[in-house]
Amino acid sequence: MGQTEARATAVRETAETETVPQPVEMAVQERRFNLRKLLVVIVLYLAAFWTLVPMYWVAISSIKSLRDLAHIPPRFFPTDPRLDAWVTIFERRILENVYNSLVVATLATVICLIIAVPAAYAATRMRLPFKFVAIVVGLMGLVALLPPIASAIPLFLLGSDLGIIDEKYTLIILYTVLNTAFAVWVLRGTFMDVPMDVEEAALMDGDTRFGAVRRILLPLIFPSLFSIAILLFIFNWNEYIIALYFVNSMKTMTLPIAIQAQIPQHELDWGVVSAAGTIAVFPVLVAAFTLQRFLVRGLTFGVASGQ
Amino acid sequence: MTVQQTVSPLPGQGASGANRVDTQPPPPQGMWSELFSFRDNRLGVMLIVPSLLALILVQFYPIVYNFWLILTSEKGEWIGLANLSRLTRDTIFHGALIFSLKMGVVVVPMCLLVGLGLALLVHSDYAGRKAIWISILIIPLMVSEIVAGMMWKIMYHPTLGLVNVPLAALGIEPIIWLVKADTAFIALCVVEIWRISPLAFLLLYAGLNQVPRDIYEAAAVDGATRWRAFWDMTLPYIRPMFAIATILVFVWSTRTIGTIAATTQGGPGRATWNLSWYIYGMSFQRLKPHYASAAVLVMLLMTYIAGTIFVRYLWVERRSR
Repeated sequence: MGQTEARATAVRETAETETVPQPVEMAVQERRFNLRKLLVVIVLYLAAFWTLVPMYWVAISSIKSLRDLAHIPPRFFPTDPRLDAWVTIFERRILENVYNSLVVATLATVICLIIAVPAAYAATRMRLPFKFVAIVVGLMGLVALLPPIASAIPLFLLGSDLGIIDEKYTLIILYTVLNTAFAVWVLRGTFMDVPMDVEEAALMDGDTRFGAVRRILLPLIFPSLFSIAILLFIFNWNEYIIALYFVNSMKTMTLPIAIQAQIPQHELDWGVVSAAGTIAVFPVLVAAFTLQRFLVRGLTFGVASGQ
Repeated sequence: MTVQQTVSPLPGQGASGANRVDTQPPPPQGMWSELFSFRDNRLGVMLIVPSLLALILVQFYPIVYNFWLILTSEKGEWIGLANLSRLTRDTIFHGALIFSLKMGVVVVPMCLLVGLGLALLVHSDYAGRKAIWISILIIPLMVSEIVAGMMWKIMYHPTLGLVNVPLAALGIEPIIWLVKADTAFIALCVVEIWRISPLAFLLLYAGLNQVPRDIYEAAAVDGATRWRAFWDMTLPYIRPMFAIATILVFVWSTRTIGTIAATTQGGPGRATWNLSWYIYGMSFQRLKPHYASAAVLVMLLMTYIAGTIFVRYLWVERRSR
């Protein structure tokens, strides 16, 4: 008992000073501790500033009055906030673009998971008849490297032949299939992390395979599944290159394309495009702070399982 | 945590393991197919077919079709390798290729440096709430490339923008960034570093988390300095992650199209055309998809070669240790 306590104290001490306690070094450590911490924190604050300042600048530009926009040097805080740009952007029916983006991103995410989860399950939990199927699943990890623009031209020509350019369902189908390989690959890693024994036990107890999946496996992988869903949604929400080829009219125009359409080539309307950009970034920022646990997990997951 | 609760009270967990042992040894974890001994081929195939179709539609079909496009003219006639040979003489294409490579040479090391530095800082014990730092630092990853370009276009704007303000404080004349070729290149590189370095940060941070902590204690006992500990232990450990980060950063920086579309539109002149912009311009604006496909092939080859080199020199070396 006494021994355990002693060890616990030793561990605690090590954790506090972060080195093996050595009298001389500890003294040095003590003195440099605050300075080092201060430096680290300052650099991190600078990095955060560097990350966030373009977003702040866009948001602030959207509510600046024309006088403030023309002011030199530019003002860090607006003196006379106006909502003119926001009125204009809503008059230009940006909400329709938001709606399009929401519908396309949500449906593509859901359908993608519906396709990918069974495939990942089959790839990890079942004996597959053809070796090549396993190889194909392995290849899915590699195709994440292929640039989307490489698929864009053939798909665009195929789409024009079929006459399905500029339809929302085309975008949904394309976003679904473009992400499927990635989703299967990441989900495969998730499934492999769950030990088989648990499910096997449920099956031995007379549960059906579907019951075992629903009652045992799905609850276990739910956090990862949710992370991957968020990630896919963000991919779809931001997708630009495929939309560039497949969007021709307001009917299908997603937010990234709408923002491109708002960017003035001449000196007009900077407030309006700032407002549009703020609308596009807002959900992402909210997601970053409310769902940070899932998001970081989802973002790191793909790579961790790729090893 | 709820997970553990659902799992542990299950009866027969140990028993099933015991039953299995006398017929066959427990299957190795992490293998694909040997995990379950149930024979359910048909169901498995049915589950995997939709994904397979998706893969064929968006990955294999386009690659095969791409070769067909390269070998035919815009009117659909067979012209052999004429598209490729035309590409080798196309000075616009040369410019775009060189611009992409130049950008890669600047952006990849910078992103890795920034990413590694931030990963080490956040990983150190001095960073307080790690989760908050991480979620702030990875925000650029979640911003669409066109939006990132648009933001930076405003930042670089001669009167609206913030970039010239600190320069003016240093007494430098305001620079009109996106109008001249060399400043536009620097400006685009900065946008790319802003956009992509969080990717390197995230990957390398994940790599650092896999380094076992006790090796540092052992090293401290042996009297190793922090620098040596970093050089001899941390770096070899995160080497695979470093390779992955290098490849992904390179791929991301070459496929950029939104930032260019938002900022320079390839200008001034054709000074900021990169490969993606060239492919887009040729296929969509000039309606020469067959010719543009030849450039797609070059892009794929570039990705493949870069991937092979990085894997060979960064990843494999650790395996052989």
